[in-house]
Amino acid sequence: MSDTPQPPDWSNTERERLRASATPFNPVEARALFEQWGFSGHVGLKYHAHGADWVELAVDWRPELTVDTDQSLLASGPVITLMDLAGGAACWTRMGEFVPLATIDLRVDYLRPSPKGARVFGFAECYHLTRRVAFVRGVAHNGDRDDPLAFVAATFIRTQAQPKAFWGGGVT
Amino acid sequence: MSADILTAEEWQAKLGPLPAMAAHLGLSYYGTHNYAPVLAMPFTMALMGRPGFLQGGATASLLEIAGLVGLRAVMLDRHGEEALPRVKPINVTIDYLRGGEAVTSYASARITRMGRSLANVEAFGWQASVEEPIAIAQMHYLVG
Repeated sequence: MSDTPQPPDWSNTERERLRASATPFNPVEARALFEQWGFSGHVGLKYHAHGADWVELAVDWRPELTVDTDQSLLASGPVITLMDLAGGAACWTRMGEFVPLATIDLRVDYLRPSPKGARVFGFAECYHLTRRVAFVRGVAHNGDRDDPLAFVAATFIRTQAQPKAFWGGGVT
Repeated sequence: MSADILTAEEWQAKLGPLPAMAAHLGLSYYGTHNYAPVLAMPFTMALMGRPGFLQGGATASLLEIAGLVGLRAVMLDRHGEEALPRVKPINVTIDYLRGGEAVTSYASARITRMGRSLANVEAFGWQASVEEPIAIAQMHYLVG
């Protein structure tokens, strides 16, 4: 968590372990990295479930994640973080590989606000893959996918194993 | 429409404290760009995605608050504190243009159109130069 950040070499070691794994990428094996590392750990994202081409993560409502003066309305930042990471994880799961990905763009349509105190789930599905681009759609909800609070569409691009100044800004 | 170039302290006095999420990100008022407020987000480990880079969600969170603050500034000039309309997000589209590096990020917003019930807002974030944005967000807000 944010109070005791892991050193950067821990993250690199975890990433190398996941990239070198003989078995296909599994989001359960990556959960320590994303639940404890960096901004996803700071926001408090948790693994919830996954399938062959989808991943569902969750984030709990907390007053420090709100944007209104009453401190009840969840900001869209945590929801975007949730959907961005669930989307990236859905791509890795469908690819079976933990490759470097950058978010090209991400759109969120807000159907309704999330109630104060409610846990938010982010379901993301990688519905199409090309050699370089992955297409993701998703839904944010409070426990029932048929009662969505937001719909999401995002695209990701495979990037070169990059030292610095690669283009794109998203997950990994 | 006030056309003043305000300092961080003057924006703080005019617009009030930033929301709780801003403190979670480490944001503060920084200054003015094109008469709109600029926010600063110093880099910390808690904002990182890949080692050495901002997580895309941190960039998105910065842009969201820059958009809200920019909208508040325009609405205050137009309506005053007493008649300030309520704001509800409809949607947002973010383009990620460059990897955010391990330095301070800045963000501001342009209110492309301020209608009676709809506001079109473009928030943009940058690091070294405002001419080289790291991300741009198009947002629609229901107002009133």
